[in-house]
Amino acid sequence: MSLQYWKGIPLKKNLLIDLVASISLLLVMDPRLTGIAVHEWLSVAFASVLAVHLLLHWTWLETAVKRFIRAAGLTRFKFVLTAFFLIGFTVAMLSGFMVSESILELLGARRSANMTWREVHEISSNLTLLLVGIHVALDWGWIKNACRSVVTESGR
Amino acid sequence: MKSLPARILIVVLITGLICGATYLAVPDSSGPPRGPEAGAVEGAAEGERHGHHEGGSSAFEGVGELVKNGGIFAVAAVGTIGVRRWRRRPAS
Repeated sequence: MSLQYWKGIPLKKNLLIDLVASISLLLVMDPRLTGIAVHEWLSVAFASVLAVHLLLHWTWLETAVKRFIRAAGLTRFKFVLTAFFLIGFTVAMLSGFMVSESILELLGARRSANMTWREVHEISSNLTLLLVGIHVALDWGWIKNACRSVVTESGR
Repeated sequence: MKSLPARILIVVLITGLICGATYLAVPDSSGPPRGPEAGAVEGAAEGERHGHHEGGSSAFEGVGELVKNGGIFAVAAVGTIGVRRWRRRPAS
């Protein structure tokens, strides 16, 4: 798959991926409502959607890394936020995997009996949710414009 | 500019490093629980099974969790928007 495919992704698809990610995050964060098995498998699906989101915005990431020192304060802040989000989410996934029931059972392994993993999972997932809130708020202007643009386009 | 496989490899490497560091940072990741922790683990697992699979107050707790998560998200989002507006306020 060439780079051009990722660069030229239509706004509608981009927005749809973000929407799917947001809805699945809300469901993933509520294991008591969905049940533990759905929570675990939906987390895996959410990680895939997140990977696509990351790859779609790769050009921005690359530019932010290259021009980190010279970049505007907001761009730097967004990059640091993204880095913390990636760390938080990866830690939440790993700790969730360590205490998982369905996934480990399928793999024929036993869940960790270490209580620390549960605490790490709780803290990292709550922090990740907080970071997502900030991320959405920082890009609220883009989200509003993108929605408006998609609605106007489909109305024509 | 990097090709798609190179990008995926970078993401995998970074997440792998984070996983490795976390695994090493969590004390005594391997090995069975000892002392009071062993009972606590069993108790927590049992409680979770009841909460998740056997109904009762689980639906109510689920809604509570949804409200809590929505609260965390809203506080972060509204707080950020508020701070940005306050920073952009016209100088009086």
